[in-house]
Amino acid sequence: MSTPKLALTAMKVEQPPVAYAARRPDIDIGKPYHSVWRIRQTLPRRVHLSLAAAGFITAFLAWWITSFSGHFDPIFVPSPDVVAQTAIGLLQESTLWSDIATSFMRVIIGFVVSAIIAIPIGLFVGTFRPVEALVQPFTEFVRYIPVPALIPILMVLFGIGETPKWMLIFVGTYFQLVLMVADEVRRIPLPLVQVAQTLGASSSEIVHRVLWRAAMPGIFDALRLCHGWAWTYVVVAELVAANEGLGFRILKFSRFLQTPKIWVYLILLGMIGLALDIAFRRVNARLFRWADTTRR
Amino acid sequence: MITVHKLEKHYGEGAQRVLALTPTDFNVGPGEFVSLVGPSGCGKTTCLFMLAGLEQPSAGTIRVNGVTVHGPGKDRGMVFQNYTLYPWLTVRENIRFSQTLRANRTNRGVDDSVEYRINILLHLMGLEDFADALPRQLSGGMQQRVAIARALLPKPEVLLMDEPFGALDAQTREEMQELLLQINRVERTTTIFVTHDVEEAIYLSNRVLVFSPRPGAIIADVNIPFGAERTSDLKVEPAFIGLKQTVKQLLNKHGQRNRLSQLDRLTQSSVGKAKVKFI
Repeated sequence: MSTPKLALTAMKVEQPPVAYAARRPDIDIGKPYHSVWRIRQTLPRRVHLSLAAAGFITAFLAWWITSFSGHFDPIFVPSPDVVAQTAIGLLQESTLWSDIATSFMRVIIGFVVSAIIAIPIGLFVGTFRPVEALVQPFTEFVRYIPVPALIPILMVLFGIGETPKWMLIFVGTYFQLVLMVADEVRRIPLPLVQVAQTLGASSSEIVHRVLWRAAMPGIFDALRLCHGWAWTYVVVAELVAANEGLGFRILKFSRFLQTPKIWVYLILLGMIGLALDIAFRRVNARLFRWADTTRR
Repeated sequence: MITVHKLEKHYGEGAQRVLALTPTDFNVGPGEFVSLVGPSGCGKTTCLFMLAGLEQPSAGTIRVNGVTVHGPGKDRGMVFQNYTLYPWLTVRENIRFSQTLRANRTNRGVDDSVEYRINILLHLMGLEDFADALPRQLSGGMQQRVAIARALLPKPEVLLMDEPFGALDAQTREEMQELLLQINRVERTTTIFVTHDVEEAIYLSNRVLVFSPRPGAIIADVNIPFGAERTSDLKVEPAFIGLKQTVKQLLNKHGQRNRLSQLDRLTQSSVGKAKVKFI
């Protein structure tokens, strides 16, 4: 009797599964209990990390092979070791660090202002129908205007200093965030509100002691998603008009055909985003232990 | 105590208008435990939500101690079918919730009498060891016990319960029934209890109001002659079984009989042998 072939035999959790499916193909069409391919099966952390690493390694290998194949001009597709050497050089320069600091500062200002305004408004949109009727349709409308298309207007209105960059990040995240926060609030089961009402809670108490508290983990998750877009828009803003920052530097490198440096900056942007994403998740899990975050 | 007068509810307007509850009258005396039983969609839950002030009646009035109900109030505590504990609060904090609200707060400090009462309720519910646990660490039955304690803490005039044990397994359900009887002996809170389980209704109540299918109407007001001291042995006594039969017959006469006889005809025509027996 042949055992069923599993693609990821090395990743099985414990004992090899009993080949029940092979013995009785007529009745059992499911996967063996320990198969990682069972729908919604949990994955051991070790396996998860190895697979994540494998994803990076695959991309890296593809790049490495492409650059050494000789089909592409090394000016456009520099090899990994050239990029690595460039990275070492750049890390010792102050420009890179000041670029990171500049872009970071823009993201923080634009995004924090956006969050401070969007969270309470989203909370009220999700809570009170008149606010929803007033705010939501207009917000949906603005959301569909491509944010980079607003750059000319923002420059006319706010010049070419820091303000238009903050505004671009603000506009790019605020409208999304309002809708996401409102959705989180609407998702709270009605009985949680009704219980508070029968216990004598006033409307304002229900908003800040039930709706706000219950929506907090979801809102935090919305911030995590939205802050990624803030990074997109800071680079967009810097590509258009700036004299420092990660986006500006990429544009400058491209003018001088310094592709290895562009690659370093791109990888850096990805790393910053990934690090912040992980940080957001960690803080969320730590702050809201009461919420079953594993099911999200 | 509670006076319900010509209470009526319909949903929708015009052609979509659906009558959920035909004009209904009933009274509940102080300390009484009254169950509302009936098939799904008969308006018993709607009736309870209107008593709680969470839904507006289309017509008619509800008075609690002479005061007309215009919305939810702390004089009417409610326990819902689904688990409604605040997941970010511990068991003790959930029970204390009402006392932290502006409407109930007398002084800013910790009120000893409140803490004392919370401890009594924790003890009654067998939750002493879980006072600092979070809701997600509790089983469904335990969560419902916390919800009952939370509703009882401010000593409401009426406790409204909407199929509180509907989502529990049979054994937990029986444990909860015993617990509720015990609480009733101690607290003597007037209770209106919605269920579709006839046995549960009779076992717990002083009176059972039987509802017809939609549009809901009370078709019988059954007095339950057993005293406050009840044990599960009661469920097998002839008097109890007789009452159960009576209520089930009332329900069948108005509801299932029609649908069952339809099913009967269908099976006879297609299969030709299956016969549905009436209870």
